[in-house]
Amino acid sequence: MSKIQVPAVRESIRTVLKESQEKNRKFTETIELQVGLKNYDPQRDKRFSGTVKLPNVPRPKMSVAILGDAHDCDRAKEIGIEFMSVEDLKKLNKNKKLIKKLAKKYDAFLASESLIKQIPRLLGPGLHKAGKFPTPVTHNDDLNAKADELRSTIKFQLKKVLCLGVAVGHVKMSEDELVANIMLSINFLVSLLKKNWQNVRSLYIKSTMGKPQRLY
Amino acid sequence: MKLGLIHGLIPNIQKKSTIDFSSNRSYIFDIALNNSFCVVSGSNHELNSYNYNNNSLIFNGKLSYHNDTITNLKIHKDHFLMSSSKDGRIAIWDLRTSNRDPSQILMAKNRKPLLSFDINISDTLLAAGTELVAKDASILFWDLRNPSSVYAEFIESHNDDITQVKFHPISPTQLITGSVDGLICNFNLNSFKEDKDLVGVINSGSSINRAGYFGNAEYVYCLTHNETFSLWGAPEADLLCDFGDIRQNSDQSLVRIDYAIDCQFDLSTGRLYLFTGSNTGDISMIHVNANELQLCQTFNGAHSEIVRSICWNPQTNIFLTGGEDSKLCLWGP
Repeated sequence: MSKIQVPAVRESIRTVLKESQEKNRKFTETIELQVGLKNYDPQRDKRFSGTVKLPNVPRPKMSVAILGDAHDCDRAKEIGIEFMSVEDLKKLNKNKKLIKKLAKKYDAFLASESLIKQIPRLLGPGLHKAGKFPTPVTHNDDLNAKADELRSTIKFQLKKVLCLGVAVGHVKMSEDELVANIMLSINFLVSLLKKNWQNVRSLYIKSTMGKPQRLY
Repeated sequence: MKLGLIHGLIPNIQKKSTIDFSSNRSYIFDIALNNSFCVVSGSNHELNSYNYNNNSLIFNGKLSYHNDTITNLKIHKDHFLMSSSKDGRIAIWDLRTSNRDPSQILMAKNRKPLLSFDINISDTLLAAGTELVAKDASILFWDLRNPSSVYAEFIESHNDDITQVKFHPISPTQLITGSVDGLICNFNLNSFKEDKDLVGVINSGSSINRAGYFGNAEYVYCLTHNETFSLWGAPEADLLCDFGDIRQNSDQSLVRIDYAIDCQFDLSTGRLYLFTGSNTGDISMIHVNANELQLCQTFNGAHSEIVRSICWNPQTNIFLTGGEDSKLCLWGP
């Protein structure tokens, strides 16, 4: 049973959005969910880490490029997604500097399924350090949808301290979108904790520059 | 995909014996077996050794060495006990002697915490995965013919904790490494030049908990911290089957599934099994078929908390289970 109710979450979101509008920052603030845990020992309890896919894109500005076979490069060209072909990758000649530059140029990569097995040979581990190894796409996948999937998937990991922050949206999203993202995140994270709500000490949402609003 | 039921793959299993690992409720992390001993690692940094047979477990003494979390445990070639730890060391005991101290220690540079390790089929190489320290997570290699120092280090392939290292069961130069960064990297060690030896990469999209070879070692199973389960071809990294979140297979009338414990591949029958648990200690053994999961055995009524380790000998059908309730249980036909 969920310990938080939608109306209360909506109220807190409203406060966060209002504060952000009042201050009129020069950038679009991110909204973060901050989870404080209890009854959990990071030294011996199971690792708490993974990814969650949110229903509404929290990072619309995330740039995605596709490393594509001929078919996918054509598709990408048609819909305006940046792409690189096998020939383009071969031209990099496994040069570490150039590959590092490529890793910096985009926030995430898709790659045609048929290309994935060639990536280690073409690029070595060059994209790994940046955490940008591509996600496979098939010829049946909608490229824009897959790119949005990447933009909607956020990582979370509890390290040595008992709190965790997860980016769940930004201040230009609607209340409904933020409610959906926050409720899903909370319920998903709680489901992975062995004592569920008994492991949660507190929940806050906060915009980058704003005051934390307590949800639980 | 609904969880199916299957009978007859293994005989009916019952609980035979239970023993407490420690008086202060340390968690059991790992269990390693040979035909007469089992060794168990606990959250108190200790290793307990037990004699076991079809019906009983008898405590046989402690092996103390590590002063930090013991992260992985193996009994190799029947009589070498090996353990890795966050204290940056791999300790090796020869179980044939009554010596309580390790006969050999391998040290990571700068005491980098070691999270996982494996040894190759020809006993010439040991590989270990480290925790992320500063910006690096490394795969360290020791040449066992000259183990006084680290032989090689791969530092580019992962950017977060390396939670699993498994050598190929047949080829002495191939291995896979799995990490919190979501990747399972496949290497063929020809030159120990990382960018040439990397031959395949599986991107699980989450954080790797467990991974291992199965079949003729041309396949890899993948269990993530999101509790998703998938099967892949290696080293091509083609997705064979995505079972998704295994907790969806929880069924009120059948079994409760809250997490995966690990997979075990039975070479004699060519079957892959997945072991799952509930938060209250119920265990399920699931036969993994292409695109289908079939429940074949449950282990209930022994544990009361999360089960962290299960060890199965397919020849005798003896199982040993251990968990956060500090209990070690012996099961058999």
